[in-house]
Amino acid sequence: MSHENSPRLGEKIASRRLCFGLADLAAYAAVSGDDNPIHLDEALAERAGLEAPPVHGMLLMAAFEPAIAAWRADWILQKLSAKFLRPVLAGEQVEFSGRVVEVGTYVLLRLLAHNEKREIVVIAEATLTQRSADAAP
Amino acid sequence: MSADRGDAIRLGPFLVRAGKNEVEAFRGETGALGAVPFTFPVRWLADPHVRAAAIEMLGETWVPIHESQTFDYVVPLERDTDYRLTLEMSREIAPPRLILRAEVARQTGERCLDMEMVLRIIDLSGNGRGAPEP
Repeated sequence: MSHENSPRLGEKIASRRLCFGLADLAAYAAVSGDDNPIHLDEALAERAGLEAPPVHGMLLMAAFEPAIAAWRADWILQKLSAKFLRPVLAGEQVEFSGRVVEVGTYVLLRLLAHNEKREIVVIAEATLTQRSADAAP
Repeated sequence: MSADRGDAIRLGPFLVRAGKNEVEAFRGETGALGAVPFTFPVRWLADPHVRAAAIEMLGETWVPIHESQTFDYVVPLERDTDYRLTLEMSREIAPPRLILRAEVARQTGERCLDMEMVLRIIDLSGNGRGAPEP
């Protein structure tokens, strides 16, 4: 499929920078049910060898959804896979980005999250399918 | 890496639902859109039954670190609708991991979503192992 309005190979989604503090982790724990104490307890994080509580992997993964929707509301996220390569600690800034790596009957996005040292902390892939004309956005 | 699939256990089906209040709260913290945010079903993996099964499998002196996660939708979920959640939980020994594979289906049986969660297990007992042996 190669419609004029289809996403183009190499096209980038707008990158966004986010920073999650301890209050954000507590709030996410409450709404997600993931109250793993390593995200909330600084002493426990230290016992696990971390300088501060790590941000929930799922909170990082969730940040891709609005970025993708803002890029192309006419394509629906169908599959999202992520590997969490390094912990992101509370208070660290994270940059989320992505680009189109395949275009066909679906669109495949390669998604990355980098920490302040420009290390990749999350690598992910998203598969999108075109929204049908009668589907609500 | 050694996988011990003999430890795999099945859980459920459990009745799950994306209620309006829970969805709105989740949206507020993630900025997610849609009737049911894409990653919202991860809430259901925090079910006390799932947690109890993990403790039974691994003991209590560990914490999980998320290694990978997949959501693969057949159809989007609808808010305020009952679904059936079934899970398979297994472990790997070296390095220690807990793996959850879950299916969300309509009450009538049609599959809507597959999830996979891989957790690295960090032992807090101080015995130098990643997690207690079974």
